Amino acid sequence: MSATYKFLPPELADRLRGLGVSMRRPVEGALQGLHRSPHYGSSVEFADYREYAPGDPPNRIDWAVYARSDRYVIRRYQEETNVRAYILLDTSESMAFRDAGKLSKMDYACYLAASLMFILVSQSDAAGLTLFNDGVQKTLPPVSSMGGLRPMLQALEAAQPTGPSKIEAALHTLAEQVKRRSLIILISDLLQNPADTIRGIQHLQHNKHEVLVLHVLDAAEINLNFGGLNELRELETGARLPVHGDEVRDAYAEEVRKYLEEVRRGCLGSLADYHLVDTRVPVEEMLHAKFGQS
Amino acid sequence: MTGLTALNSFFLPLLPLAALPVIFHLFFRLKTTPRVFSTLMFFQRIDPKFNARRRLREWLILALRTLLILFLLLALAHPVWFGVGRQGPVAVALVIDNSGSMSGFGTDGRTKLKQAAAAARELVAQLRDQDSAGIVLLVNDPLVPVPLGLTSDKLALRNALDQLTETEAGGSVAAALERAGALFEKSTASHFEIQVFSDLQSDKWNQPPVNLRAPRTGTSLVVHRLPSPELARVNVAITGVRLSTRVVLSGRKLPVEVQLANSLASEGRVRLNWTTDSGTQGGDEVSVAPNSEKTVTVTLEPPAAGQHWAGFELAGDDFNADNHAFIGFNAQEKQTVNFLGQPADYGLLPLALSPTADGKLSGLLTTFNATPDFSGGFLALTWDAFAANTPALGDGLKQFLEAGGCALIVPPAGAAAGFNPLPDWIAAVPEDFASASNGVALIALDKANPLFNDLRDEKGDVALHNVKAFRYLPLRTATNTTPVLGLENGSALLAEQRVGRGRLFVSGLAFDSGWSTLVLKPAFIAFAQNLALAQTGDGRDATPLVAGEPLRLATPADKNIEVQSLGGSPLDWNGLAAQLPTLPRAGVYVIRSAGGTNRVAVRSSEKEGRQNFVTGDRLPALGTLAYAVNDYHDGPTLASEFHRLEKSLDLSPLLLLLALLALAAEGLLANPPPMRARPAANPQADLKEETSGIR
Repeated sequence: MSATYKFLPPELADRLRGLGVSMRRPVEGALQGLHRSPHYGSSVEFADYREYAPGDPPNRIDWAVYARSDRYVIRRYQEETNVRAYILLDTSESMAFRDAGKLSKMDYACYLAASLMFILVSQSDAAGLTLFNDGVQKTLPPVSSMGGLRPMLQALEAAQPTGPSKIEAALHTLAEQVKRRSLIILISDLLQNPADTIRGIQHLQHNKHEVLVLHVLDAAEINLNFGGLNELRELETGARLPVHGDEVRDAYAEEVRKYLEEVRRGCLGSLADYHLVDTRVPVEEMLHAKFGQS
Repeated sequence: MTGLTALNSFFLPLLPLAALPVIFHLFFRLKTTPRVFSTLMFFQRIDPKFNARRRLREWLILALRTLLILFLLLALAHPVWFGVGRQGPVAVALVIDNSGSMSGFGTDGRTKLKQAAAAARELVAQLRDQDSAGIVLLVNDPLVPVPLGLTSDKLALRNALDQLTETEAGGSVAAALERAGALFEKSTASHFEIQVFSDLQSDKWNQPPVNLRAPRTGTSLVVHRLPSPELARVNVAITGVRLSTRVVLSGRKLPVEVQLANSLASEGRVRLNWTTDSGTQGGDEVSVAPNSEKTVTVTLEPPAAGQHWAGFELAGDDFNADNHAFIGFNAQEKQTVNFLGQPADYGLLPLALSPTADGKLSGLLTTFNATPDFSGGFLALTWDAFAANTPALGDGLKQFLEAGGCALIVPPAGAAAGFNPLPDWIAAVPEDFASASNGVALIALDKANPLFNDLRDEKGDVALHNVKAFRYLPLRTATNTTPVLGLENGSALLAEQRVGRGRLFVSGLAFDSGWSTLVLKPAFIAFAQNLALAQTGDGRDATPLVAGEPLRLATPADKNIEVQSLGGSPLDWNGLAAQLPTLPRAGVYVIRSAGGTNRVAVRSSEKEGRQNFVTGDRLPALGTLAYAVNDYHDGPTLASEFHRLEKSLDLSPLLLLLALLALAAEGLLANPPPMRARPAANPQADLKEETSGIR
């Protein structure tokens, strides 16, 4: 990759080398890769036997077993395959928020997406990108080459946070579109009813996908950092609300705590991997913390 | 006074100020910091009605602030609900307006003062044993035995009211209310009332108060207005009495000017009567045009030297309290004119003053002395005198003048050359001799000067009848001198200078036929005698006062003073100077104290006859005091109102309490405790570890 991309500068790419994304479940891949495939093939890792059936290649018959049991059986091996990962990036307007962090949530999420795509392709997996807000805005199919990442990196640069967010709808759409078992990486601030989000994740889980949730929040969203009387304007709806920061700070923090707990427990209950991301933490540091040991 | 009455109505017009919080809220809203935020979801989760509750709280705070101001202003207005509440001992101050205007007739044929006294008697009759009352007169009348302080002695109160008689004075509302308020200072009564009975004449009640002190807190002030029917016919008032400025001589005619004013739109035909201490009486029919003034000259003749007085009265007038005036004066038997030098130096002046030199014909006694004699009332001296006697003569002359004497400096009749300079303090300085063989006309430069009093024609112009001067010394005058007689070009030949209490005349003209034709004219005799009888004042020896004006004496407050009337209203008062009353009626009074004896001549106040009365419920004279104005109808109505007023409920404490409650509630709402999150249905595990890195 000779071109320079905003969200994947060479220095970041350098720092990401050595990181790897692993799967907890077997995935279906077209190419041989690092991850277990749900299909059995002829690789070196023995799986089990099965009865020979007409059409099977005769060279796969285990003659030693035939000699002992007078049965035609075929050895089956655990086939290792590559991962098809879909990065699902929330581009709703709330993602434009920035206060405590150096980057807006949107920019931070784009850095995360680009980094993850780079890591995946680097380990011979395929990475695709889906941008959504209240619906799927753009879908770029998975690619497994660095060159193939170009349109996705360009799509990230072109993406603007706009519109309301409907995460559940996007997740349902993706669940219907992706037939093969895949890794779904949801990058979002999840600022909506946690139950809705969890329903979407459960749909993906039901379709045998593995889900990784990267919950991107600015620290100022978790703990109010303003005092006095402020008139807050909601990014997505433009709704206004006069708020006295000192008056509601504690209650707000408590509500956020409950919300995060609900999201976290929902993800765990759906077997999704959940990770709360603070935009003040550098992207590579966050990725090292998450994927550095895999 | 209706059921609910504000005792301090000054604050009632301020009630709209209660809207200030709303105005500030609408027009000067607190600036909120606009801030973009990712979601309002969590605020809604804290309280789904977060915004609605906040708005409700804002409006509640606003309402409480409005109520706070409203309650405070109402409490300051001191509302009292009469007819409700406890009934305890009542202390009443009966303020009776006994000023001259109250001598006018009311609706029932009695004077308004009699009506007021009857109404006050009604109230006294309503007093219970535990109640007390005091009487305060608008005009302090030494003839009325007013009980000291508050008393429950109804007999004493009635006795004082029975002896109320009309005065001719104006009065001070503020002073009367202060005296009324002072009655309550040591009272233990539970309710205090000031009941005022007055016709509310504008001159007293439509003026803003000066140094008006509020009575004791909680005092009810009720003003009963006595109706004043329109005066039908004649109301002429004596507005002043003026003596001429000549020395008053016994046995000589004394013109006295009596000034009259007709304040009505119809012609005033009255009779002006006068009487003197010697028993002389007289009278003249006088007609005064509508809304105009007139001066009537009355000629008196004091029979002997000494102190005299004269009283003037208008008869045939419908309003009596402005019809009297008195004047006191001192008459001399003769006026001595001392000439310094020889008779020949003064030309025809000595002859004009006293043809027989003994004063038989003119009352002027002329003497000629070689040395200055300052014992007489008038001193004449020539310019030459200063050459020999300066500065001793100059100093003596100055002292003589400052003490009230009058003097004339003339050129010697035979003089033909210049003179030595006069003392520096004499402002009229002679210039070079001038002469005119055909004569130059002399004219009066100060036509109003009393020297020309008897030289005026019917139109009032000074008639010198073609007087010419042949020789003269023009005088250069300064600002403190008045040119009296001079040339047509304005050059002064006779100038007057006030020195202390005296008057100095400097002449550049000798009173000789070789100098001018003035001495050949008959008018010269009057002119010369006016000159010799000139004095600073007008001959009064009694201080003129208008009835009700305070006497200003230097006597210490703890010294005794005796006041006796010589003429007019009878009075014989003896007491401490601190308690010296005003003189409420016209008369001549002698006041004796350790400091000496003074005489005052009092005339009735012409203001009392003015038919202007306050008709509305606003009395500027009461300033910011809370009061109620009732039109007086009859005794029973007054009595029932009085009974109702005995019960009252002071609402101020309640309003103050409400204001405090509003303040406390506003404080709680404006400074709420920090909000708490809604309780969770299923408390989850603590997430502190989860979010700790984000803090």
